[in-house]
Amino acid sequence: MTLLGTLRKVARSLLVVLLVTFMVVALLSLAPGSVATIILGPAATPESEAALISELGLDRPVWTQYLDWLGNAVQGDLGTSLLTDLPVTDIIAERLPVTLELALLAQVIALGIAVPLAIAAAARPGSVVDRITSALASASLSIPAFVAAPILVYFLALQLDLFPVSGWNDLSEGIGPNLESALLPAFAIALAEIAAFQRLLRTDLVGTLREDYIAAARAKGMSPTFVMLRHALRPSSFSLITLLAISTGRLLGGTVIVETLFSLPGLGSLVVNSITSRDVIVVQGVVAFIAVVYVALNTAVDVGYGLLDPRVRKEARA
Amino acid sequence: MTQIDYLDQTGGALAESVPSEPVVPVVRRRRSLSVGLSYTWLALVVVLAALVPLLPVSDFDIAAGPPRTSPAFGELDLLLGTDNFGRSILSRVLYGGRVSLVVGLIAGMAAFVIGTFLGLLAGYFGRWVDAVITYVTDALLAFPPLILLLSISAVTKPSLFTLTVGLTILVIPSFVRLSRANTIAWRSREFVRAARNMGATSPRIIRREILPNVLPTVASYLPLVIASLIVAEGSLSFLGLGIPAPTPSWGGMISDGKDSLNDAAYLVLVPSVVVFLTVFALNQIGDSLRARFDRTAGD
Repeated sequence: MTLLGTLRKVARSLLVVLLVTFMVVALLSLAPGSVATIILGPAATPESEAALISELGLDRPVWTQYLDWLGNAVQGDLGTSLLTDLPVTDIIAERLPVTLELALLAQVIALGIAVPLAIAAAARPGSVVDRITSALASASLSIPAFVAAPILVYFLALQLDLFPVSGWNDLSEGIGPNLESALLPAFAIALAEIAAFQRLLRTDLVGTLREDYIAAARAKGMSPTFVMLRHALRPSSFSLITLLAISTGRLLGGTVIVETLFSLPGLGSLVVNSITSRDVIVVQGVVAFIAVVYVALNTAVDVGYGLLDPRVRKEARA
Repeated sequence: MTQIDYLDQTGGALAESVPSEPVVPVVRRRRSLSVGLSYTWLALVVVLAALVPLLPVSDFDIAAGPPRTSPAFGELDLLLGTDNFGRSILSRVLYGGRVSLVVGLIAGMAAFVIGTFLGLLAGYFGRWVDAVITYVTDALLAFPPLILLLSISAVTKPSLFTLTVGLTILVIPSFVRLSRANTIAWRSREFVRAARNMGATSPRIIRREILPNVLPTVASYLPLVIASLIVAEGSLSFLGLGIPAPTPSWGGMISDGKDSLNDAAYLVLVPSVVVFLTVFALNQIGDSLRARFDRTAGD
């Protein structure tokens, strides 16, 4: 039963993957003329446009284009950049580690701040601590990245001079310089995550703390700290783990603003640069990659969740 | 009195045994100060942005004073300072607000109408209608929001129209999901079955029985969605892919000012504060509406 359910979920997400990639490929062929003029710029003539359209294969039916693209993609070929002639997969492989490090670092920072805050707030619902943290959380959920990042740069990098304003030091240059360049952007990304994590975990903790077994543990004379950390935290963290996994996937394409502002060589700035330099093949490849990874991660969470929490398995069967 | 006796099968015993204190406390609707302030701020921004051509401020594209004047009381044009070209920041913030608000409102409303309709169809008819709509929704949701907008802007010329269409596509899936889930919750209720047994057609059932119940819940998410649309529009214009210059936009102003952070931080701080307050106000209003109209909202 569980196996069948898993297979169904995987099949379902494969279908979504096909749809997603089809959308990406179709997007270009929806407007072949405009793609050609965008690439060629003001120097375009009708002849050169037609030549480029047929060179890119945009004059063929969408289905043939898509099947061609898919055939190449499953063999690890996402096409070559119009600008640098490098394979798109190579470009992605070069840019992915930066975005991945940013996303993971941001999640570590977010967890490190959100979990203690959530515990403090849930320990006394309605207390001053609870109200202050929840006010802060709803405020920081309303700070868009393009507002948070420049303001953090202003206060932490320019006024206090704690971090460099922009630039990237690769891990190969040592962990110290690497972290120095990665911490501020990661914190800018983490800001909204902290709030989301704190809210979720606080709500779940408050719910768990009302359970009978918590009252029993307290009645046995266990200290509030022990009850909170050993009895309440783990069963309350399931939704947090789900959110963590999903938002990590989301961050692969969600660090665009921060990467651009700090001029970090990640996937997000790759998309933006490719758009401004009109390299549509790279845009197509990267967008497809990000979307497919996101779907895969969500499916993994969906399936893994059932393995992790026996209660879900039972409910699914009923 | 006779009527009450007739309804009360216990012969009046119930009326006497009802305790003077209600068992479940009456739900007290909190009059929140922050929600009140949010409505005030939003009204202020909307009115000022709508009336800015009539206000005694200079146009957004001409110099109103010396470049990089710090904010100061005195002349209205210079209240929030001037930018690198001496243009009034007050004027640019208000004109920029027009773009953000109009785009957010139109895209939000369009997505609300389209998404609610599709969600009703998917939830009511189920089967292949549901499958098709759900798969397309899931596929759209697989794109991180900004990436979806970026890939649309890769093949189109940035303009008010393409921007609005892109933003509409971006948020349709959220409305589809909400409306579908709510439709499923209502579609097998007794009054819907009664309507069907009385021979009502599907369009009529959807329109007269289900829609009125689904609408408040879905609509209560509108402020939250508009807030996210304003953020998305701001992100695009921050990246230089939104409304083309010289039309000002909040994201564009922050982007223009970010290189002068060191010596003229107000270039970034002023539009940042405006964006934050607007998004925060919309989120507060959305949360309060959701608490009132969405029965599934737990927290």
